[in-house]
Amino acid sequence: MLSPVLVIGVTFTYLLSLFAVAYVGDKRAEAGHSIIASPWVYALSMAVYCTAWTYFGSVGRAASAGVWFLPIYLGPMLAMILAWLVVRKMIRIAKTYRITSIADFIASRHGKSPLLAGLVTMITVVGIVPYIALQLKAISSGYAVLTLPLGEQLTTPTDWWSDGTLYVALALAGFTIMFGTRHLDSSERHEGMVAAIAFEGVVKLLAFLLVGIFVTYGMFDGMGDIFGQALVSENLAKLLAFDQGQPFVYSQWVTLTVLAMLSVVFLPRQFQIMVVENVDERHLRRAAWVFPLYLLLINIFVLPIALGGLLFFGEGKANPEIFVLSLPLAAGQNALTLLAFVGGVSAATGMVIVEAIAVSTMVCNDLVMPLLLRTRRFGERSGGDLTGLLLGIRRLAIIGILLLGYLYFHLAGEAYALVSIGLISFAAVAQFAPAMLAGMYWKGGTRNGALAGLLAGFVLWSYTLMLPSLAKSGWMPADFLHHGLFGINLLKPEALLGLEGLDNLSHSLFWSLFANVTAYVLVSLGHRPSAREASQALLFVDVFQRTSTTHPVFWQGQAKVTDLLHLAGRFLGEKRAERLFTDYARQVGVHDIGQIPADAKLVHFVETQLTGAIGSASARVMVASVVEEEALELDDVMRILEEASQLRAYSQALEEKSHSLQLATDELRAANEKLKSLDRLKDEFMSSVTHELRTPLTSIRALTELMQDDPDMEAEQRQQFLGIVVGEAERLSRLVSQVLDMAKIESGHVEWREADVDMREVVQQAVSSVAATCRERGIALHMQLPEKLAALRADSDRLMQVVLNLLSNAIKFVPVSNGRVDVRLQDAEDGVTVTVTDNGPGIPADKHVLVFEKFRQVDNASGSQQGTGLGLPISRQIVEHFGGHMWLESEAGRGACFGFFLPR
Amino acid sequence: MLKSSMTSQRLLALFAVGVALLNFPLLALWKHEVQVLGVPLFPLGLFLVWVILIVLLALIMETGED
Amino acid sequence: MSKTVLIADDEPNILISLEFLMKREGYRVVVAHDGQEACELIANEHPDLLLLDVMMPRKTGFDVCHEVRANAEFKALPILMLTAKGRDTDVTKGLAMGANAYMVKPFSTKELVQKVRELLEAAA
Repeated sequence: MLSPVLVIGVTFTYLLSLFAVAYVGDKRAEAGHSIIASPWVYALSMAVYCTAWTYFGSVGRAASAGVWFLPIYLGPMLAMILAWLVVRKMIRIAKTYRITSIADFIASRHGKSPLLAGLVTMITVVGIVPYIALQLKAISSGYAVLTLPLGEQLTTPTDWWSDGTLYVALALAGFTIMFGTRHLDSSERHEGMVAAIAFEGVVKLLAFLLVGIFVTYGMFDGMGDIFGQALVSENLAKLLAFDQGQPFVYSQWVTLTVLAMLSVVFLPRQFQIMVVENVDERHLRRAAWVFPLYLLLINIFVLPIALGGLLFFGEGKANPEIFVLSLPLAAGQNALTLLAFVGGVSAATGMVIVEAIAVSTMVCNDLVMPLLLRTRRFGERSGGDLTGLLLGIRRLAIIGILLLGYLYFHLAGEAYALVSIGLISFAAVAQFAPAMLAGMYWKGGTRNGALAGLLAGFVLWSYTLMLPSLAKSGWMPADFLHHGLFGINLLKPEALLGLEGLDNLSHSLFWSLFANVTAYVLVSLGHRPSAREASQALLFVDVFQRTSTTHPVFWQGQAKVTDLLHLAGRFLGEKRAERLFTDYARQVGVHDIGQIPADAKLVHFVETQLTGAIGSASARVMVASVVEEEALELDDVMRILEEASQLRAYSQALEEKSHSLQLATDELRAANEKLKSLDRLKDEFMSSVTHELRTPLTSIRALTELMQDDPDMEAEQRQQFLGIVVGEAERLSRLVSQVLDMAKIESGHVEWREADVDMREVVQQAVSSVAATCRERGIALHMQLPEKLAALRADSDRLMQVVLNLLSNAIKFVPVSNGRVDVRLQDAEDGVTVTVTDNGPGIPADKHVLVFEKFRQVDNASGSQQGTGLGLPISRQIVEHFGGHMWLESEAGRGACFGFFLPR
Repeated sequence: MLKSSMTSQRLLALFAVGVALLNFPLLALWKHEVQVLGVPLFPLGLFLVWVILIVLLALIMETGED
Repeated sequence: MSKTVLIADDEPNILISLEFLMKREGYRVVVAHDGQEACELIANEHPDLLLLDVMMPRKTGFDVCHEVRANAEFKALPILMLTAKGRDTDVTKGLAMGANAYMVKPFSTKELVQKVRELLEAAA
């Protein structure tokens, strides 16, 4: 037992720190440094799905039904797989048309119908009240466990003013007002609130995990211990079994999964967080898997805590829904108990804050405003600024919603388990699914179809689920439950038209959704959509096919800029409106507000801005009141659409043209670069050739001048000089012919004579032509040829040139006394290989590439016969011309082996 | 465009797999009354399927391009 | 005592002709076959004049020139560059590196002798 002062003090401190987080979030957002612009924060804020239901109710559910608490989290897992397809489209639609609630979404899609928006809001309020009550119940019973002696039950006081739950409701209302309605924003986003929700997401997860770890490993000896003990008990073993002593109820499993799938998107708070508060739709990529991971983590210890509680307290001895608190409390862990309570409060407040903000926006924009706009009194004061009024309505709505929740808690809360209360709400919001989903993917849905579907679904939900829940709590006669309305058996609410064999939830969900979908489709197909319905359907379904500049504006008529500015000022505030108009003026390329063309685009702009503040239906009514509209016919819609698509085609063509221009520019630039680099190469080549020509000329000139100066030169000396001169002259002529050869090959002017070539003959001839030189220098020349060889198609003279080049290189480099050159011709399936191996100095690996480049002699040959630096490059070009390749294998000091391969 | 439709197809396929694994009749795969490391097979199997779905979803989402 | 001329060139035939020419003029001759060898010989032999080819393996004539000028001992050592690359940029670069004169191959033996004589006289 803890002192009430401590519990309340800690709780309030925690709520204040939440508010501090929100405050920082808002300040940072104003300064332009959003702290929620991260996929992680986005995913954590989605965890507002996990309320007191998860925190307390799941354990209760698990204690009575084993794994049946899980479908509520497996459904979201499945839904998030499709989030990138479905939720992303919702985000795009909501952002493009400034939609801020589900009611607005459905109404805007079906021709901006105020009636439809009102209906959706009504259903939401009625459907969500039990859910709010659930949170209040959780907080108050949690508080009772902490502050009352163990085992003592909470007694509801008879005087309403002494009921603590009422004050909890009011305190939460106060917080929600501070979080959500401090100012009016046309995009209806609350950065601070999202930051606080993400923060409380972390707190509740950590608190729950800590309790789970404490129970599993502190009070018991790990998972194996808990499950082991549970399996010994007959009742608990049955709880863990797959069929639990009766056939597995697949229908209910599926129902729960489907309900959760729909709820995770269509609950007002989920829509608020996922769609309205989304910063960047790309965040969905990561959040889509992080959010299910969060759900997995928070569920790991649900069964251990439930079983642990049952084993510890004994079955039926304590309320399983508060095991999370009572287990650590019973173990004397006061600090942990307090933390667990803060986690639970976190879960409950997070839900209440977001839900109340979302629902209050709907109530204000879609229920109260449309009614106010019709009254005369409102018309009289219509000149003034209405932003204060809007905020006031929202604040009142928040208080109203929480008081309704308190009322439901007071009337029916005691009779029902947390999870059952929540499921009633789930089934209510599931009614939005047909109009939302069909509206996003099917252009045929109309306002009347949506009205009919929602009404049918809501009536059946009320009759088969809501009213029975009230009847079972004893607040209305339960007769109709057992005997049907007016005593007609077929109208029994939990076995409608005699449909039996389903649990009441599956039964209700089946009937309500069946009626909902059927009515939506049949009524929609029963009449032609109006122009506005058709145009809105186009804008929603094709939202990804248009950008803001090319989407069509379905409006015609006449307007005045001043009227529109005045209108915007009333709902957004004078300053904001002025700023918006100035920005718009800049966007359309004029200097001040007065020059803005009062066209359809401006009307659309103002209407979109107003939609953010007061909802699409009210915005429509308000805009229509200050401009002179011409009725829009279906033909006009088609014409506007045609114009828009022409505009789009035009802008696409323009884009393509500039793209191809860019391509051409790039090509030209590349060509220019190539030319420049070719020019550089040519320059280098010329410089190299000059150098190679001048070098032998230098020797020739110097030596001849020396001989000329000295006619009496010794004969021997003269002979040596003459020998050098002759050698250098030969080198010159060889160089000239090779340069020409190279130039011819490179420019493609060589005449290749292709004929059947016997490679054996080519190699033999080449070898015999150098045999004499080898004998002179004492070089051992070996040749190895295959017996037989199929002919190749090639130019035999050119191949001879290649082999000779390799041979003369080898001869040049081998040592004088014991030189050795091996020529080998090998035959293979796909071609022939020729290798020339010498025992010369070899070539280091880093020079292997160089030897095949022009004018790159790696090391000078000994003796007077100089290479030109073109032999190998030419040889390689020849081999490559015939589809072959040439290589070098060598290491410094180990001789060299040049080879080439020619394909057949 | 081609790549994004690839992501869509993968997501739809994964959704189909998820629906199949968490429904009749495949759910009965975990019916056997045995324990793995002391934990009964039925809850353990569900968590296993859950983990696999999260990992696959993460792979699809994190590798796809806009 | 006769002056010492160091000739560095990687072309053996050019070395032969330059060596003969310089000896005929009465100089003592030291030959190097590449830039690296030239640097070593300069330190050991203290020549009075360098005849440097530009395109040599291991170290180019520019590098040798640069290295020589970096050493205070050889600040005043006359250097005559010989190159087969006759582009203006090469001439400028050679002079920038600290060469005293520059001749393009193939050179006239008379002019070369004249130039060598001038450089040695200027240095003395």
